[in-house]
Amino acid sequence: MAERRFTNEEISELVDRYGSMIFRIAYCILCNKDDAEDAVQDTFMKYMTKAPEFTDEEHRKAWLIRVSANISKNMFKLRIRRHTLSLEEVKSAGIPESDFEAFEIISALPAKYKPVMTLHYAEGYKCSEIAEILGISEDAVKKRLQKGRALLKNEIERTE
Amino acid sequence: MTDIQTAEFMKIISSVALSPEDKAEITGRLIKSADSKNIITKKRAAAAGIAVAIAAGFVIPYVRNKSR
Repeated sequence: MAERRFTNEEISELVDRYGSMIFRIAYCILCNKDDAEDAVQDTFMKYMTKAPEFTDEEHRKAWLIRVSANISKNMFKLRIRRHTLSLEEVKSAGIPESDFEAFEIISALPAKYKPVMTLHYAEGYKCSEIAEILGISEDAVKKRLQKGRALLKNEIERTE
Repeated sequence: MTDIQTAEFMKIISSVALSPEDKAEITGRLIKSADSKNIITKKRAAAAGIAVAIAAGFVIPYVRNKSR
């Protein structure tokens, strides 16, 4: 009998360890729970099919982040965009009801800025690390952070 | 963006997470996908086994004849 590359325990451990991180990145780009879950699944499927070799855990994490961000951005380009968010949906993704309006503002950011901002503010990566993970220059990361922050500030001031 | 707004952004984004049920559902689907891949692999293995058996059916008598 041919052997499977990953045991059930390995798959379960993988989802447990990285599932929420990938979901966070995907959800920030897609702003839709079902689509974000699909992106999580597609990322792990790619991981299981390709079974790439990694030098260490950080290398594996960076690969998963890059692949999930690319998958999510592609999904975002392809799908018919929804312009409204429902409170129930946002709550089911873990966001408290009190933060609904603030998340609506974040979701209005262009997809280009969201992975950089999520990796910096939620995952705590430095600009140089984000550049390496996403395969863009450090200057581009800094510009996207700056622009993303400015867009958010404008949006917050506009709604106040 | 002020520090308060940055902190707010961090708080909101950090609260996004998969629930244990969602994790279990995704894990289940991935295991199922891995299993279906396994079936394909098993079929391939079975086909390879048949090919070996056919080859052995021809090659072994041929070698025996030759050695006589």
